[in-house]
Amino acid sequence: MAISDAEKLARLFLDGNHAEALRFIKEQPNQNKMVLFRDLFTPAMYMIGDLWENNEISVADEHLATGVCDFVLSRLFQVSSEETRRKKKAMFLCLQGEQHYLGIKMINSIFEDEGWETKYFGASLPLEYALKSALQWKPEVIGLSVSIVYNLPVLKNYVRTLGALPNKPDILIGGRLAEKYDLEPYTNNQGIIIKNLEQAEKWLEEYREERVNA
Amino acid sequence: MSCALPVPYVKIDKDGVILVRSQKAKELLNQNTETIQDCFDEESHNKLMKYMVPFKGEKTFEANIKGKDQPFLLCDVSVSWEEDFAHVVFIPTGNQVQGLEEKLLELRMRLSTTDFELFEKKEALEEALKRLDELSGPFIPISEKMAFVPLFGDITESKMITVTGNALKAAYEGQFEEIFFDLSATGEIDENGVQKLSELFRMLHYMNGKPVKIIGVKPKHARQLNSLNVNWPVYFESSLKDVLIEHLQIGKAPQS
Repeated sequence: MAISDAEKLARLFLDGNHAEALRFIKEQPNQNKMVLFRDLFTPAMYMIGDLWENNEISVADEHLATGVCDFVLSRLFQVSSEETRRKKKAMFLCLQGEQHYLGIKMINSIFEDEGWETKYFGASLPLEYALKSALQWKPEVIGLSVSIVYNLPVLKNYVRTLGALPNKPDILIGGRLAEKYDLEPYTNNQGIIIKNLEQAEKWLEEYREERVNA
Repeated sequence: MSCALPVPYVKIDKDGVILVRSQKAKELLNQNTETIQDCFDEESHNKLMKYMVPFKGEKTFEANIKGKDQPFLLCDVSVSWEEDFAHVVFIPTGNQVQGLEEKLLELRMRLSTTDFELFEKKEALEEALKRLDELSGPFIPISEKMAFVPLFGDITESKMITVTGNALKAAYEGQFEEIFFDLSATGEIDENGVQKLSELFRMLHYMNGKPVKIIGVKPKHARQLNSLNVNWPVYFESSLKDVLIEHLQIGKAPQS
């Protein structure tokens, strides 16, 4: 059976072959970022998770693959440094103790492409820092990522605290668990659950339309 | 007896109910765990279930355990079945992976501060420097039997490695009897550069059966070349001009 492109990418990540992975992505016929994220990066990383579940690789292999994937993402989709004043602001973070940051890194990148000014905090940001930063910076959107079940109770706390900020930001909740479990009970009816990249894109579209209509 | 085992160990029945636990297991796991499933992080349950059907021999897998002190602890879990009972041993590996995690974190910090435009410029610069090295020791055939290699700029190890590759290839392809290295345009020579230079001369000597000749040596170079106790497999000539005149006269001699 021919192996899929996502599987090829997963193998390059696991081999630590960042140069070949970079080339592989650059050679894809469709260079649309959303398509690359949805059809290659995300399934490749999920595949690596499955390999761990099948006892074919260890956590150490996963760490290596994560590092390589991060490098490739950073290299290909660099944060633009142009100093144009962007109107809308969004910040993205993983809950404290969360190390699975690649998904939210991709979301951050998509928001930037949409013309948002973003702050990307990556893995494991304690609530107090998130709160302090959000108080000063006043983002319209705060994106949270959760991938570990034992972190779920903490999620509630994050949503409640950040949702109560004076400028009333929209709280988006994503991460691997959003697709697998019903996170509704943890959102205090304040958060918007984003199950995958498509939903994030859809949310952005609706947000844009609301703005136009408003 | 099993209580005194020096590792966290539990004995379970085929429903996963914990029947016996070692002292170490009591220290590792939550007290209120009744089944083996309770000990595993939810995301590791699928993995665990693959080992909950009796099999022969023993199997080991990685899983995240809900520890008493740490809610999320990576362990190597070994399972073996004895009829309707299974023996399960937990070996925490968290510490081993921790070093790796710290390295990854460093890498991540580095990534987030890396300016990739600069990074790419640096790569381009390295490429240009290598190209410069290549051009700093051109192998020039003057006649079928004579070749001339002027060395431009400072002689460093990296430059000599590049020059050596090109020179050996050219010397192999041509049939030169005399190869002249010209130091007239050479700046500083560092110690590693000298080492590589003497290696190149030795290799060319073996290939050609004749020592190479060095011309254009300045007093400064003479001191540097001598200071390193290298037994130079070369002849020294004074300048390219003298060498050419000499060769031209030899060429002319039969005609006159």
